[in-house]
Amino acid sequence: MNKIWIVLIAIVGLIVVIGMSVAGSYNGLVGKQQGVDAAWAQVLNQYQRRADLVPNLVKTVEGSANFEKSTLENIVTARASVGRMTIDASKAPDDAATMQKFQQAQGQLGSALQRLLVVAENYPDLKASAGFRDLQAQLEGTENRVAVERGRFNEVVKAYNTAIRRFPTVLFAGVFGFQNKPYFQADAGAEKAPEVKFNFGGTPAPANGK
Amino acid sequence: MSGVRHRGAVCVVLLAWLWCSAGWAMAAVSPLPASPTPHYIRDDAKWLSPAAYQALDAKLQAYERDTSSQFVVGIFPNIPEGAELFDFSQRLFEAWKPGTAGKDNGAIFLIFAAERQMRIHTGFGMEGVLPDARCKQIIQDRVAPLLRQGNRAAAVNAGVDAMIAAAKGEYTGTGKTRLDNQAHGNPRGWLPILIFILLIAFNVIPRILSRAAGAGWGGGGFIGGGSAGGGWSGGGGGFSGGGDSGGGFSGGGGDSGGGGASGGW
Repeated sequence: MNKIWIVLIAIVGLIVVIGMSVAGSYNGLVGKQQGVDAAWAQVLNQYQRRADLVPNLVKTVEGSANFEKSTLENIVTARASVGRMTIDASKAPDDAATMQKFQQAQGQLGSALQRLLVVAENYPDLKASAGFRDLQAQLEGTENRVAVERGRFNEVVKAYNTAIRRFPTVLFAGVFGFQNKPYFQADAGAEKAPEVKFNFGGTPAPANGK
Repeated sequence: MSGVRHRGAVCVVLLAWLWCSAGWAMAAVSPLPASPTPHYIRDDAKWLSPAAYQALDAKLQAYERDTSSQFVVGIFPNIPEGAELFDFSQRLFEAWKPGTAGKDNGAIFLIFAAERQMRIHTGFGMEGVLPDARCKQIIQDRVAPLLRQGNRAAAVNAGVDAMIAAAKGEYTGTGKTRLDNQAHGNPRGWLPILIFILLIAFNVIPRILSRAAGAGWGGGGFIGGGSAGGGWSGGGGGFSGGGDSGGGFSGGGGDSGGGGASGGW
């Protein structure tokens, strides 16, 4: 009888110890996951900031005589597809496919905007205008902020992904629904300059930049 | 037999040490330039005369006393090889940490002579008064024209003045810089000295007492002497710790999300 009690107490003690350590690392994971989501929200903030610049930018550029229409159209289309995207701002994506789609849409807008800046080099009046210069500075600043926040996001995701794969956390992380989070990948073609072609005048009606 | 094993162990330790130091050497190939603490200007390109350096340094120090904001100037001969202007600037900000933690009211003004590029990089707390467009204006309208004339000291001063003017009224200072506060109000700096004095006192007083009493108190004095030695080394540790505490720029702790603007001349 005595022996059974000792064994029982030992088992209960073991369960308590294991339970406490599981609870401890569970709480740690929750904290890390919150960190990932917070970083994600920051990334979205900066992307939103960029998207918000587009209407002003389009309006300013439209005022410049004969500005290449296709460049503007590309921006408006890309801006629209970014706007249509339904993405949860409070929670970082769990699957790589969602992340990839998000990055693709944002990447399109990014390269359309970059192209606009390159094309603008050929419009001295536009380049000299204070309004355009300010917008250009804001746009560059926003791209920089996006880069910084993406870098910080990847860092916290790395910490989180490492944590859920550590032993013994790895044994129960899956049970509680902690999954690997996808990283931001370097944009394909980010390093090559956008191709510029000129078609002054002859294109159909300008895109309506709203 | 045991001698061979011993030699093997020595070899392993040596190899490990070599490995570590090789790794350290590789990691240290391109270290970031250290912050100019306790000064506010790092002039690697030697643009400023000693007088100009001191005048601007004093201006930036007074500015921190007035506003608690830290503006730091870095003038470099070139952008480090393989680095990109914005990325380098961001990493420098994260290392130098100008501004107060939480307020993030710092900014750095960087100039790269060979590339003829410059950048104003703002902390989070400066983005309101020094938005990107404003930074671009300062660079293009105030600094660049003077640099094209070759008037370097005036250009650097014009940039700093414009930043100070833009940020006017945003933050109020305490009349002291962070370093002022550290120099005057840091009790930890006194602690090791105090312990040392106390230990000396505990060591000497029993001896004096034992002399006075003329009895066998020498043992007490001896033990006291041993612990006084321990106190000495502890004091040394405390001192070096105090010296390291200015790790970031004046211990500021400001953060930046990449705000600001770049431009050439």
